Amino acid sequence: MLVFAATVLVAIVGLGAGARELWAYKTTSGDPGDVAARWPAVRLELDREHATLVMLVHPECTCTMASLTELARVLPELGPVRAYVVVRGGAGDGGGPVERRARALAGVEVVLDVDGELHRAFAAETSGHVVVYDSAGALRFSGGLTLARGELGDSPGARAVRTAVQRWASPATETTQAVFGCPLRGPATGAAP
Amino acid sequence: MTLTRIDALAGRLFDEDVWALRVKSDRLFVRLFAAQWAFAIVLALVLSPWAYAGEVRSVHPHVWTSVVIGGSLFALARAWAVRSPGSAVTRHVIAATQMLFSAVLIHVTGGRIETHFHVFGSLAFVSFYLDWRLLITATLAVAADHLLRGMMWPASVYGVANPEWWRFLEHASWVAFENVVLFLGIQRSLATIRDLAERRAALTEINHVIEQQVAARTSELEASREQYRSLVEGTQAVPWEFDPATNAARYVGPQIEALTGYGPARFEEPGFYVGIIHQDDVVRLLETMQRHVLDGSDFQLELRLNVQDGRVVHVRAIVAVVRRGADTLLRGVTFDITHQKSLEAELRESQKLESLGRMAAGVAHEINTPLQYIGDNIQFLGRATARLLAALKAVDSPRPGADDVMTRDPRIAAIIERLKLGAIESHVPHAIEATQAGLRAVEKIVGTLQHITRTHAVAGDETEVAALVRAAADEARDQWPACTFAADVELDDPRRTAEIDPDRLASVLSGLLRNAAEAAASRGTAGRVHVSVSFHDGAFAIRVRDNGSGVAADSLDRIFDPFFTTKGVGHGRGDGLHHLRDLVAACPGGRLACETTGPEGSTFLVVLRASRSREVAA
Repeated sequence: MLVFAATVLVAIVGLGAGARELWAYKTTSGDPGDVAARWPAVRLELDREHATLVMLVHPECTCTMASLTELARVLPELGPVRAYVVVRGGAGDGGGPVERRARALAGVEVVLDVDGELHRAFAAETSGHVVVYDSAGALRFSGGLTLARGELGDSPGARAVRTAVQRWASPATETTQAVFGCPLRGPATGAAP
Repeated sequence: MTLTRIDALAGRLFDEDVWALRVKSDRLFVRLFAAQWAFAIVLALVLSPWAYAGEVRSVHPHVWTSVVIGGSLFALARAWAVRSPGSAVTRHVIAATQMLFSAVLIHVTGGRIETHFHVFGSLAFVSFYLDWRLLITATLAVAADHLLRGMMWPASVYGVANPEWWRFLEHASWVAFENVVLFLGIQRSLATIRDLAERRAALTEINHVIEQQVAARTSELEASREQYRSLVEGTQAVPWEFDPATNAARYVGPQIEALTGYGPARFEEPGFYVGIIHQDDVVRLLETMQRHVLDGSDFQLELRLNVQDGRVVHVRAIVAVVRRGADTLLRGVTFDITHQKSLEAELRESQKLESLGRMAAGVAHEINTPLQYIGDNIQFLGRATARLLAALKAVDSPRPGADDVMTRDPRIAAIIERLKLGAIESHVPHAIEATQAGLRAVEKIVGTLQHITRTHAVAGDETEVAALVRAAADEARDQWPACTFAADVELDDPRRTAEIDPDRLASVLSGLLRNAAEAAASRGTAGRVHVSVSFHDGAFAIRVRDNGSGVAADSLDRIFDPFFTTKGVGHGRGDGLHHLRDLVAACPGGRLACETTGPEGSTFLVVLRASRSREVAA
């Protein structure tokens, strides 16, 4: 009886604690960063006729796989757009799963940001962070494409990206959404890798 | 066998089957939980082993989620399955936790729509319990997860971030659809199990009835076997089975010990049985046995056995020849016929005596006539001799003055001298008298022989019993003065008569009184004989009681046998009681019996029926 009661108690506590931790992990958004309001002077080329979309990702972040999946779902709906996936670090030898997944996406140019220059230029802090600039270089969207970390499915971010790209010619309005993903910089050093 | 019993048994079997199935399902789910737990961990390790913060990595929360939440769900299910296998609470807990496992997997896979199929698979698994209520529990668990997740991340539930209002109903409808399918499947499975339980119940009941019948038949057979055994071994006949090849018995009934003094085990020794057979019968036995073993026919045989106490016992064996495979056995029973043999010898003796008696009766009849004229002639010769002797004496002693013939003729004197008249005169009358006495004795013997042969009574005979009894007692008193005779007649009518000839009754009473007097004589002057007469229910009861030493027990059943006597040789002819009984039995309703006997004396009872004429007159 005692063993039974102890087992049930431990199991319930485990369930509760696990659910709480999972809940916290999933729903805690990443650092939105101080994203550049204007297209920075980087080696990426700004599309002067259409909107330009840049997703900044961590090469090992599994949560970002969901963001890439959502990007793949959203891209065909966007119409003409120049899209970059900037992989921080860049491992070479075919890269990690994130890079491989990104390279599999059609209409996306994968750029390796070995020294972190691009990440610093765009000032993104969380993997999966998407920024959309209009042809004039003005920031039209900043945020993530997922509802929670690693969570698939439609999201306000995806819809906002759609709006930002499709109406890039309209008067500039900036939309911001929360980003869910791994931090692009380590907490201990605070330095970009 | 009743339908109610079958129904009750079917219900019990159904409950047992369903319970067993649910216990088995509990165990299945415990294993399934273990597998799912492992699967969730592996899935988390493959899909998202690490979480990163820059280049710093740590174990991904999905891994911990799989380990902790999956482990908790497994522990919860196992704890209940171990504690209360088959119970309703256990399966409801398991159903709920199984659905929560769907949620874990959905989370681990990042809310993949495809993982939602786990929900439908889980519902199907839950239906293994064949309890439709579990579908409600499982559905509620899914609904709770959907509600929570739908509110937070509707896209992970419905695929879009802003689902239509009816999208929840769409999901619910599919779950409801599966539930309906599973509900019908559960009901059908339960019906099948119930049907099987009813069939098993019917078969079990049939088996039960058959087993009861078998048990009853077995019991009857046992009783019959025991009855047969007690019958076979309870009789005096000795059952046995004999193997001629080994010359030993295979089985001998325990009665053999009473017959021979040897226990059954001795007869299982080779040659023992043949060894106790009388030497004059051995060859005959072996020849007979050999002949019948060869031709296979049954047979009977009479033998003599030398038993343990030295006696020779006559037995009869009834033998069947039994073929058993290559063996031939003899099986049969053996009876003790020693007493029968003895009776047969007695019968032969009796028949011989009867023939002798008939011959004696004929001789007596034939002797009677010569006796008559011999007696008459002897009487005549006696008278004639007396007269002749008187004449001769007159010649031998002439009166004075008379003419003397002897002086006239001297030859006459010489003849008379040679006759020795004195001796003749003194011996001849005695000789005649002795001859007549001998004749009377012969007449008496002849008369007795005629009495023996004449046993029939004449219809219409009647005798005044009281007077005759008193007369017989008086006569006996004169004949045996040393003995005290007493007569006690208790009759309401002293002149009442019995249906018997007076001479016959006199002979009977005389014989009984003589026997009683001789028995009482053993007491010397204290010898007493008491004769009494009473009348009840139309019959006389005449009792002759003596105070002798009684009849020996081993002689009691033979005292009425012909020529049986306990007296010494020359003291009795042995025709007494047998003859007396025949005399009485020849009368209507007549009976003679030894009523009591013992060390204090014997009482003989004569029963005679009263004359009808007297009865009517009375």
